[in-house]
Amino acid sequence: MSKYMFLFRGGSDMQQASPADQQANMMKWKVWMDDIAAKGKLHGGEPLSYGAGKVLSGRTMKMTDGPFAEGKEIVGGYLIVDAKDINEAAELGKGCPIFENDGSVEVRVVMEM
Amino acid sequence: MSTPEEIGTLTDHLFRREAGRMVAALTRLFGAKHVELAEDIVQETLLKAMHEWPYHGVPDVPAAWLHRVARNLAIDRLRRESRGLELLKENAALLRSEWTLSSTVNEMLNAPSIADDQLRMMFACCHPSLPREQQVALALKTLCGFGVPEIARAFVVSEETINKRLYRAREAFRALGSIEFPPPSELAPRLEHVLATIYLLFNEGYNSTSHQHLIREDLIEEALRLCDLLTRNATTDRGEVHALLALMLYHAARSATRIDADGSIVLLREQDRSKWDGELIALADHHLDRAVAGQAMSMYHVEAAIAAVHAHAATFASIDWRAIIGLYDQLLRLNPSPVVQFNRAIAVAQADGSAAGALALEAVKGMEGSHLYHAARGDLLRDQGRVDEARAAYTLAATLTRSPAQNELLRRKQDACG
Repeated sequence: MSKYMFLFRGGSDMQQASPADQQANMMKWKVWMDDIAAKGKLHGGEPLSYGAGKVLSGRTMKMTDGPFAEGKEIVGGYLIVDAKDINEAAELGKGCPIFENDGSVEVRVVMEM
Repeated sequence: MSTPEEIGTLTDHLFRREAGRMVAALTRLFGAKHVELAEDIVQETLLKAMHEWPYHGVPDVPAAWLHRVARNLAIDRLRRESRGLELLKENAALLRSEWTLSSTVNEMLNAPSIADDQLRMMFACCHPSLPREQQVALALKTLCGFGVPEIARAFVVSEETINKRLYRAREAFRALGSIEFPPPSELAPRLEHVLATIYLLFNEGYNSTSHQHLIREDLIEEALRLCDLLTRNATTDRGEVHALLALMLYHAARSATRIDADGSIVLLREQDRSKWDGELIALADHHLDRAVAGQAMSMYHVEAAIAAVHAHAATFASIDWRAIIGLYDQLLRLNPSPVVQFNRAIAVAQADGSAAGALALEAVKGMEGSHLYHAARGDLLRDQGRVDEARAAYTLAATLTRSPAQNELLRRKQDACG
């Protein structure tokens, strides 16, 4: 078993959704994550706020305020899952509801010491 | 307040319902002028829940979590922006001082007072200065937590139309200043406006020409919920409120049998009475009893009494049409409208035969543009064996409705004319 990270990008158009649609969207994410957890493959993760944030860059550590990227590039959260290989990890990622909102999931291998 | 059943579970309409409750409470805090600020805070609260709950689990008491987040966001916004906001005189000083800010917000956004905030908001949304279609759109948006696409779907109009209605409604709404109960001297007429809007909401759900089954049920549920809220407050717990609730409950009890699995209309005569919801009928009886205990007699009283006669008839044949005609006579004295005359004529046809009914129907003036009128005329002609005239009446009726279910029903009737 290795660890893999899902990086969620985009899908932030739910900002303008109605309460009922927000609840429906929340339930889809919950069902998907609960299912990964039920398989014993969920390691952890956190959502990231679309609000305040800073980007530090360059030698001078130039500081700029968010937004940090175009809407569909903004990272909205991450999840770490256990899987036997990258293919199984990618397979788990396919169930993510973010695709309904034009977002993407980047699947990366977490390097082990 | 959360009931024990709510703890740890998520009801279907939690976000929508809590959105309405939080907007009401926040609008009272900030004043009508800042209703959009209230809506922003609620939107941000729900987004936070949408993002966090899948990762961290649904909180034990979801509503309490939402309210706490909304309170904190409100305090943050006031801390940063209160100088720039035109606050209501009575809270401005309290909300601008760091000493009293948190405690004032917490006190005003506490659970027990939210039911009253919703009622105040109901009176504000149904203010006579707003045209009724704007009242309904505003009530659905702010009080019921519907989104613009959902309201547009419910009324089968474009989102742009709803946005325009909301824009104009909000302008009038902001001018109201504070959100309060009407003074006792104005309560009865203002309550009439509220009830008329609730009934419109209900009818839109009940008779809607839209095929969207779910949105129709949502409207019915919201109308019942708002009316029920009115019965639970001492100021608005009045006979006509119970009467309207009874009326809507009698109708709602039959709603499942009015449309068959294919979405076709099932006539009253053919409805499966065993599938009528006995619990809702019992609840309706309860509210009708409470209604007649009140002092005033409203149209809703009589209409509920008519619905009760229907609801309690075991079979179509055992409907007491004499009693119904008597009630329509009462209703005509309160509201001498063509629709009431029309309904009375239908009852006459049932009690005294199609010839007597046709005579009564001929006397009705002002319904010539309605498909219901011509469909009923067709039925009475058919029953008298005048099939050619009946077919022509059905054809005319079909040109007057755009509802697919109504058109389908009329086609079936035309076919039956041979």
